[in-house]
Formats: sequence, structure tokens, C-alpha cells
Amino acid sequence: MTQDKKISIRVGLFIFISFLLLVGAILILGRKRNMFQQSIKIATVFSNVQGLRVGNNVRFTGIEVGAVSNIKILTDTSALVVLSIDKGAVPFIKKDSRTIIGSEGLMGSKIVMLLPGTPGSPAVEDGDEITSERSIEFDDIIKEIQISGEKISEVANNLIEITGKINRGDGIFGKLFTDSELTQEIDQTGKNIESLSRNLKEVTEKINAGEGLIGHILMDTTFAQKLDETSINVAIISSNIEKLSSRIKNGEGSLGQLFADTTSAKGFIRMSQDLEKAVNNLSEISQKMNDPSNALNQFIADSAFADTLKITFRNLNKGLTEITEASEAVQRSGIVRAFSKDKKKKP
Amino acid sequence: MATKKLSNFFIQLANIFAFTVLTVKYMFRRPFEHNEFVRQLFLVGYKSFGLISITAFIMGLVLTIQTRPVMEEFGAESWVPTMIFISIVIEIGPVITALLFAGRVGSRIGAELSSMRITEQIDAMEVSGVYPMKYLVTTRVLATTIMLPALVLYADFLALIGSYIGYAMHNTIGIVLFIREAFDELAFSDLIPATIKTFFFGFFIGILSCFTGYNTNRGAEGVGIATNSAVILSSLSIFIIDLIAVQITEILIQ
Repeated sequence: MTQDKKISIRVGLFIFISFLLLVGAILILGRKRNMFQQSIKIATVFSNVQGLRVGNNVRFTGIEVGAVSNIKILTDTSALVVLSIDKGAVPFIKKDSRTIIGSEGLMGSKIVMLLPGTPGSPAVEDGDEITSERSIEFDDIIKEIQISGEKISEVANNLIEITGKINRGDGIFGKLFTDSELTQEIDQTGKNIESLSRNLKEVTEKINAGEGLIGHILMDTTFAQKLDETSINVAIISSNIEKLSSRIKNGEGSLGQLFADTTSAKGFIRMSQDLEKAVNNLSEISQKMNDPSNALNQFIADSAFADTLKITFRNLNKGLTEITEASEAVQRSGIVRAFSKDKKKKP
Repeated sequence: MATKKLSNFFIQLANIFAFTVLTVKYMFRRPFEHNEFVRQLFLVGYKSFGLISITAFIMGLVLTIQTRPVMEEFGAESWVPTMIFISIVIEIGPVITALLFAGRVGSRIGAELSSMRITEQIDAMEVSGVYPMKYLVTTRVLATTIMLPALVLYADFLALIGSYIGYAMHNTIGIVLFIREAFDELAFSDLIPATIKTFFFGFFIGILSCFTGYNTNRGAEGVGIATNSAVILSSLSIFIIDLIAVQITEILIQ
């Protein structure tokens, strides 16, 4: 009897453990398939489900949040996909979330990815329909490649034409590659450019060092200050001019009267006519002066004449000083002093 | 000659069918041979546990070690747990376990019943009012039918452990993640049909072993023949049932 009991216990334990294993396996599978978890159902419509099957995973921000629970054809161009979403993930999925079909790796099974909606909008509810986005399919990629391939072949044809022209020596580039004279010229030009740039470099160095006028302008801070002051003065002047002009406009002062008084305008016109005549005369004179045969022109333009004039003046100056000295000497000399009227005043 | 062989085959088939019907009929007839049933469960199931454990463990270990380098070449090393466990659950676990079970249990039942037959113990039972079909056959058939699925579940589990050890030799991976990955691609449509078909394996191993043992009639030589054909018929039936099960599963899942 005890032997029988032992056997019974062993057999019972054995079957119990194997049953536990089965239950364990079912639980693990069940948790994966969300069978024992509360979930809601939301719908989305795709134009192409790309081989999605019932039971495929649904991911939200990369986390599995549910599974595809049903797929059926809705119209001739759309398919309804029902997703079951875990209750725990529902608060994070907004009503304006979008779905897109992706795949797990290159060869993996298809998945539905939920793209997050805007933060403020309400969470999805059971029976909601959310919009889908068209994902890039392999066929699209192939089409794209085909188009770009055609374009590339066009470009290649053009390149062949261009290189052919270059080889034949057509056009500027052709000459560039085939004409030796042109290359020499280009070479020369390059040398010139080099020397030019060297000169430029020297000039800029000088400017940097503060040499020359431009250097002075750019580098001298005191000069800049002066310039600043000048500009302030200019501003003052301009404001004065403005005031003046406004006063003139208002008819203040004689100039204002001049502008504002119509009676004196006639006289003014006559005056300006006279002025014009005078200017004409002046221009005649200046033309005559420009004529090299004219004496006045010699006076102005002839540098040699100017030199002699300078020397003459210098000599004159010298002469005058000598005369002054001589006169002083004469003043000091007693003979003259004796005859001078103011001899008593001098001590 | 050929016709006689063919007719013999059909006669045998008819006998097996009749034997099966009779066994099922006796299963529902009172009183139930409780003690004998538990004893058979112990002998058939519990005693086979050691053999099945070692084989399953080694099977998982070896499969993983041999598959890993090939998968690594394809850059799909992380799929090894999934792949191994699916193949174990769907096919290797049930079939290998059932074959071992047929070898161990089928031969025992065949030899036991045939020697009982030739020593006229079965006849004595009939005379003394004990239904030998009920006492000997139904208890054994029920025991194999119940114990084989249990053993297959153990075998799957131990193969998973073996596979983990084989995988962990080259990769750093926790047992939890390994199990999670192993169950990754497994579905109810894999686990449930695989479990259901092991009941049929167990049932037919029991029926065929009992049938060959029960219908012996040629003395000591008959014991050998009966034992031999018990193992052969059981093993053959496993593959035939497996084939049918695959087809039915395929149709049902579609």
C-alpha cells in the first residue's frame, strides 16, 4: 500500500509539473499576444497593407504596445486595419497620431508604427479611427532609382559630347587643352597676377603699418578723432544752415526779404544778368590767360619765370634788409645823430 | 504470393482497427482499474523521464552548437534561440521523444503482453472473470496517451535549457532574455497542434504495442517478433501521424 502511494505521488507530481510547463508556455505566449491584457481597439485605413498580417506587432516610440487584430478589404483601394492597443499605452497615444507600416529589419515581418500626435490633444478611445501615412515601398525606391538612372545617362551623354569637343579643340576649353600659344599667354597672365598680388601685399602691409595717407587714415586714432570732431562741426553747420534757411523762408533778415519780396526780384534778375556778363568776360580773360603767347599766361604757367620771380623777390628782400641795416648804422653814427632832431630824447 | 501478402496486410489493418475500437469501448466501462492505471503511468512515464531528459537536453545543446556558426555567417546569430526553440516545439521535441518512447515503452509492452499470452496468463484472466482487454490494454494505452505529452513538455523545456547553455558558451545573454527571444516567434498555432499530436502519438504507440503483444501465437519466437514489430509499427505510426498532423494544421491555420 505504501509502495502504491509512493508511486501515486510520483506520478501525480510528474503530471502536475508537466501541466505547469504547459500553462507557463501558454502564459508566456499569451502575454506576447496580449490575450490576458485589457486593450482597446482602434481602426486605421491603409491604401496598401504591404503584407501585414493579423498578429503583427504595433509599436509606439519603438515599444510594443499591441497587435494587429483584424484586417479586411474596405474598398477597391483601401484596407481597414484594426489594432488592439494595451490600456497602459493608451494615454500616450493621441487622437491625431498617425500610423505607418514598417518592417522589423530588412527581412523581418511587417509592423505598424504609431507616430506620436501633438501633445495637447486628447488620448484615443475605443473605436477611434486614426489617419495613416503612406510608407515608402520597395517599388517606389526602384522607380526612383530608374528615374535618376535615366538622368545620369543623359548627363553622361552630354559629358561625352563635351569631352569630344574638347578633344577636337572646339570652344574655349578645347583651345585651353590644345592651343599651346593660349596656354603661354595664360601663363604670362598668371605671372602678372602674381606680381600684382605681391605689390598689393606690399601696399596693404604699408597701410597696416600706418604708412602713407590711407594708412594714416586707417591706423591713426587721433586722426579719426579729428574726423569725428569735423563731422560734429559739419552737423552743427548743417543745423545752422537749416535754421538759416528756415528763417529765409519766413522772410526774416535782408536775404529773407530778398527771397520773399517780389518787388526786389526784378532788380535782382537784372543784377544776375550783369553778373552773367561779368562771368562771360572773366571766362574770356581766363581763356586768353590760358593762351601760352599771353604775357599773363607766362606769368602764371611758366615755371622758369616763376623761379626768376622768386629769386628776384629774394634778392629784393636781401636788398631791403641791407638797406635797413645800413639805415640803422647811419642812425647810430654820431654824425647823423648830431643833426638829428630827437637827439635829446635818446639817452 | 503478393496477393496473399496484400490480403494479410489488410486483415492486419482490420484487426488493428477492431482492436482500437474495442479498447476505446472498454475505456468507458466500469469498474475502472485504478491501481493498475497508476502503476502503468509510473512505469511508462516516470521511468522514461531520465532517458527523455538526457536526450532532450543533449538535443537542444547540440542543435544550438551546430546551428550557431551557420547563422553567424548570415549575421543572424540573434535568431538562434528563436529558430531552435521553434524547431524543438514543432517537430524535434514531439518526434524524437515519441521515437524514444516507442523504443522504450513499446518494446516493454509488446514483450510483456506477448509473454503473458504464450504463458496463457491472458486466457487464465478471461476464465477468472477479469477482462484482460480492460485490465491490461486500456490501462497501458491510457498511460501512454497521457504520459507522452507530459514527457514532450519536459523534453521541450530541457531542450530549451540545453540550448541556452549551448548559446551562452559564445554569447553573453541572460536566461530571461533568452526565453523571451525563444518565444518571440512562437505562436499558439505552433504549440497547440504540436501538443495535440503527441496525444495521438502516445495513443497509437500504446495501441500498436498492445496489439502486437496481445495477438502473439508462436511461442518464444512470437515474443521476439511481437517486441520487434511493436517498436517498428509504433515508430512508423509516429511519422504517419506526424504527416497527417502537419497537413491538418496547415489547413486549419489557413
